[in-house]
Amino acid sequence: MRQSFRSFAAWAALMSDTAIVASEITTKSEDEAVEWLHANRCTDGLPVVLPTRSRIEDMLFVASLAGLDRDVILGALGPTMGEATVEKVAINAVMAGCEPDYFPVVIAAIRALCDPRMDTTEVQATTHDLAPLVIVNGPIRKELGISGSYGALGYGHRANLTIGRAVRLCLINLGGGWPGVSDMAALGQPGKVSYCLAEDEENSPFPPLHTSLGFTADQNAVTMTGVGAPHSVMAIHNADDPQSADRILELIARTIASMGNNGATLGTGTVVVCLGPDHAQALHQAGHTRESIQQELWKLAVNPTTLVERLRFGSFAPTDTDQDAVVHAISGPEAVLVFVAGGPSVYSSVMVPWTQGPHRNPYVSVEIVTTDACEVPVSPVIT
Amino acid sequence: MTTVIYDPRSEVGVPVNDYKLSLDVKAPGLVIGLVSNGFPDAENLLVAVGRALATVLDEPEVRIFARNDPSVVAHESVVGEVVSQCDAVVTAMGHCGSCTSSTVRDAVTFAGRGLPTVGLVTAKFWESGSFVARSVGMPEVPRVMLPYPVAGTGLANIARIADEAVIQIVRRLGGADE
Repeated sequence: MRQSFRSFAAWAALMSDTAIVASEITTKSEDEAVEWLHANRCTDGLPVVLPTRSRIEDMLFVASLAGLDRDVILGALGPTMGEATVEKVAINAVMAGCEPDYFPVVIAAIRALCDPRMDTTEVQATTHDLAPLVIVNGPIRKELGISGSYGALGYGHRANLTIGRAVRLCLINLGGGWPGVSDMAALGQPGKVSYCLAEDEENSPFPPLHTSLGFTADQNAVTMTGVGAPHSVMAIHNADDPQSADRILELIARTIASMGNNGATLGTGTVVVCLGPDHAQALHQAGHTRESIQQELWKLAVNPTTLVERLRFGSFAPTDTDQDAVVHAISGPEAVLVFVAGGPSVYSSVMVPWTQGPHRNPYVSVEIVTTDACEVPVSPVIT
Repeated sequence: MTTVIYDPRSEVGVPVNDYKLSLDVKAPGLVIGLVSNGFPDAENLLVAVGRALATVLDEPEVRIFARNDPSVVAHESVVGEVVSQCDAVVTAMGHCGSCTSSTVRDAVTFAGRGLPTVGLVTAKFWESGSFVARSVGMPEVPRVMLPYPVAGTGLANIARIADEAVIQIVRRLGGADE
């Protein structure tokens, strides 16, 4: 589609007499336009691609293929509850540097973010460093080049970075987020600029994550949840060691239950576990499934209640606590999103939740829709 | 040659409502609801505010409504209790991002139900509280600025902060401008 789509878009633009609804801003030069966007807190601090009519129309054309007109409201983003229309999201996707082909992923991510369970009002306000993480599954990962391998959350991956950035720009421009004003993250983290990766389905011994969440393998989906920065987990697998898989799981669980994490005390929210492919293979060879890994991590990620109370209340801690009681850092096995990402290595990664907000930091999955076209059966030619 | 771009921003999705409530602060026996969001020391602060109110109002009755969930607004059942029992409300405490949001939103909720209200917000989160107030449609909902920090500074200091804030709290409950 990519080679031919610009000519289609040009055709569509010519055929369309609908105006862009958003206010026009006229400046004397491109530099002045960039400065206007910076001065009005419309960017994340980095330069942006200018949202010109033709670039916005390119995005809107891709949305139209999925049956989405420019005025369709995807939802609202807190705290200001600004409407996320397809057109506004398109403007922000242009600014983020997205290729038009990425737009269906951005739309799905914004749909997920607008789900009331994502609590964007509270998520934007908190002093915790969480950011919405976009996990992409399905064939579209390969088509768009969304990485789930080496450095997927680092630099160099255009699709990952620009899709994640489009989400952040929407949180700024539609939800009203701004550091020190409405986004009170005490320090923040780089994922608050862009936080998007794919599952490395090809190197996973387990079914793709989205198939565990109700989708089929040939569907495309984003799964979103608010989590902090990645913590690396080093574990060296030894095929001769019968305890090797158990060690990997225990190291991941201890990272989840690390006492400085909110979950160690509060035990709610979604925990994200990006298994490195080597760790995934080792666990698979030991007989584990995604479900058994979730179960084990829930069981192992605990701390003695006496320790939790001592570190929380100090000299005011209760003195009559059961010495054998434990606090789970995870609310239940289903609260752990386990998938495979990252290059082959001795590392996995864990992202832990804020745990708070009315809905307690759940995850939301949404299908990525690229077309609303029905398959039209073609009659056989009879000669 | 000029450049034309399109505004990426959405309008705030909530319309603005005025705040025009006032309490007759000279009336005897006022019932003042003190709504804690559960941030550490919020309840201790409100207890101290209650003691301070007793020194400046005419035999008030203060009632504490505490929850242990600072990132979440007061439950509707609590809102109903407060509205049915109280003449005015003080909410606290804006001392972090989400708890500032919840305490200002609580204040707006009570004001929307017709109760004169004041939210207590610390200086470091003052701008955040103002942003929240506009976001939920009542930019003028009364707030009183506390020094930062309050939490963790000890009960004696918290009592001093309450004593210093009480006149301003009563002024705002009485309808005075900031």
